[in-house]
Amino acid sequence: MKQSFCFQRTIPVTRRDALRTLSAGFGYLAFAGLSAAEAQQQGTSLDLPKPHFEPRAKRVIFLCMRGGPSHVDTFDYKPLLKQAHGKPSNYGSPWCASPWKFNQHGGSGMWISELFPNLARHADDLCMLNGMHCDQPAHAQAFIQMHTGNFQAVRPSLGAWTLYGLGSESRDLPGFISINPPTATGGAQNYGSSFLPAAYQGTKFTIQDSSQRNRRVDQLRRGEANPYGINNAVNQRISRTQQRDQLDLISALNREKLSRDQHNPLVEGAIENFELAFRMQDAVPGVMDIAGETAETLKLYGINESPTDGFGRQCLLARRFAEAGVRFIELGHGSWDQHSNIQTALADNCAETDKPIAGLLADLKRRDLLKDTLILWGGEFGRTPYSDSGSGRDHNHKGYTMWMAGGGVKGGFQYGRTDEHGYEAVEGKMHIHDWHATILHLLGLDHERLSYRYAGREMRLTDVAGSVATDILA
Amino acid sequence: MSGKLDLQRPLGTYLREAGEGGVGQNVFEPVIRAIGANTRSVYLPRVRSVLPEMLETFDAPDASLVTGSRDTTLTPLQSLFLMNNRFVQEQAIALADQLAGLTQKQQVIRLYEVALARTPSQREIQLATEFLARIAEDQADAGRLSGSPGLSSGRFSGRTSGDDAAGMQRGRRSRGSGATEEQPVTRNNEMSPMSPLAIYCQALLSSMEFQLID
Repeated sequence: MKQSFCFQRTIPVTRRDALRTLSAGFGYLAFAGLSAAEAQQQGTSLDLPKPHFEPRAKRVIFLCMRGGPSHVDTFDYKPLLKQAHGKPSNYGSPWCASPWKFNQHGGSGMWISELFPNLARHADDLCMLNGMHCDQPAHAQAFIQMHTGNFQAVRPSLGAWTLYGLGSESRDLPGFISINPPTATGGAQNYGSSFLPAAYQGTKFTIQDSSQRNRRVDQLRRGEANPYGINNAVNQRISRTQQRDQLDLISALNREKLSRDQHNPLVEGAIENFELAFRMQDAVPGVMDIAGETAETLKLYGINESPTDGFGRQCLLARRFAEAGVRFIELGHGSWDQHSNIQTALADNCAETDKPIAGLLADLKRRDLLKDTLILWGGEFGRTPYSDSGSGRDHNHKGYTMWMAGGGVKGGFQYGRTDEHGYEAVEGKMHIHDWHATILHLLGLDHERLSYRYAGREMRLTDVAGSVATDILA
Repeated sequence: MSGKLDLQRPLGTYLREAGEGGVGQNVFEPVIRAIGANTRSVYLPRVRSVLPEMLETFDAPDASLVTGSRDTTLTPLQSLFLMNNRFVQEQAIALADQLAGLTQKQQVIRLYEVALARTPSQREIQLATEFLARIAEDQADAGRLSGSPGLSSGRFSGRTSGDDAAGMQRGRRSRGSGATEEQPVTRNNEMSPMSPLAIYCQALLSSMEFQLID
């Protein structure tokens, strides 16, 4: 597919270009002439690329639960585990029943554990994917594969591909935002653009989490929180009037250069970007400032309450970013890696996220945004239905649960299942490549056609695999 | 160009200064992001996915990838960096400081020579003159309103108030290479305003002509 962004440098061939492409020789010069005309027709960087077919979802909110949330304690009801509890399993350690009760919810009768009482009220909006599986039971590899499709090489993230495919609708915010991503387990790779142009990379926002537990655990991993979420959002030295004058001067200097160069897309792009940056200075603090939200809304997300404040703020910001036209929004919560303390730690995690997620679904729905916003929930893998210690569960990539809601998926629908103990996906299996293919499909993109030439071949998010789970499409 | 580059080779490693911790997660990221060293970039440590903010913003290739040709992108985050980042502001202030003692026209000519390796056109001198007058007037207005002394009086130099703005960037973490003295850390988060000339210098450093080699 064709790029239409201004960083495609075409003509005139500058000294820098000539030096860079010396080995390409005259072929490059001929190409530069051809592509320059094309670039002029393509217009400015703000033009949106066209999807392959009619999209069902315009944007994505990915609720990323880092660490591997246990499926058999949350969304994958396994009554057989109760009877088998303590008895030897086929896998060395004894079976371990969930300490939490499951109940059926909504018109669909979906089984959800008591850990998600608020979310359970939205059961009829959820598309439960009980047959997930991926390639590795190790955090970093699985987390990276979930984000990029490939844990062996550095590849563009799902959000970067989305932006590459659809562009950004926001004129004053980045098109791909990742809030509080971890710096471990792949770090910036998980929101990076790899070989895709850097304009498609995610912008990391860091926000305060008022809950003591998360502050302690995550502060080092996330880095310093900034009241505006990103660096350089405000200028503390120059007044806005002076800065406007300064920008006008920069623009005048750039136009002087442009008149000398005749055609230089890089300079044209720079003029545009300074204006966008100037708008971002207003937009970012504006969108980050939730003071204008009603008390009822804050309560809906559990903001200013313990333990929901931190993730509640993330969820509310996700809605605000969605309204502002941000294409791909990822929220980060964790860790869900409970090897030994599942009774308390899993309950804590669910308590921190249940109300905020339910609030987000309710809020999007009443604003009529849920219909074209695709919500994704899940972590890099699930956990074992057996337990050595009886107090925790280990990594399980063979069968686990993620869910979707909103934009184009069936609500109150369960797709796929694991075996009777919840160890391995046996029906409606969905590999991460299939998950990616389905997400792109919902966004109006054919995962086999969304490609970018790198290292001598057309690269895809799904590499040479992936099939769309048509059963879940509404 | 701002006269702040330290040509000495730094001694020891950044890790030594960062101290104990989980290498790769807890130590490298904050250290590398906070690098305020004035040494040449050839001495910057390179830790796979972690990059100093400026390099990350301006298309440094991912160190865990084979990269045949480097991207040349334009993003609004780059513009925000040039407009609002302390490092850029400090360089502009230091650059302006070096021009103290010259007439305004000499300052502009010298700046073009130093930054762009050419003499300014008549039109560019005119743009500069108008800009400096406008900013000076604006700062004087602001000064009168707030009752503090006008910021534009006297010679155009980088700093307009007494506190050491240049120390801010490096204050968080000084390299201590022996050749540079420890700079004071400003306690509160306030930063000294910039003189009209420093604001002008920043604009010149933000121009595409300065950024592109062609």
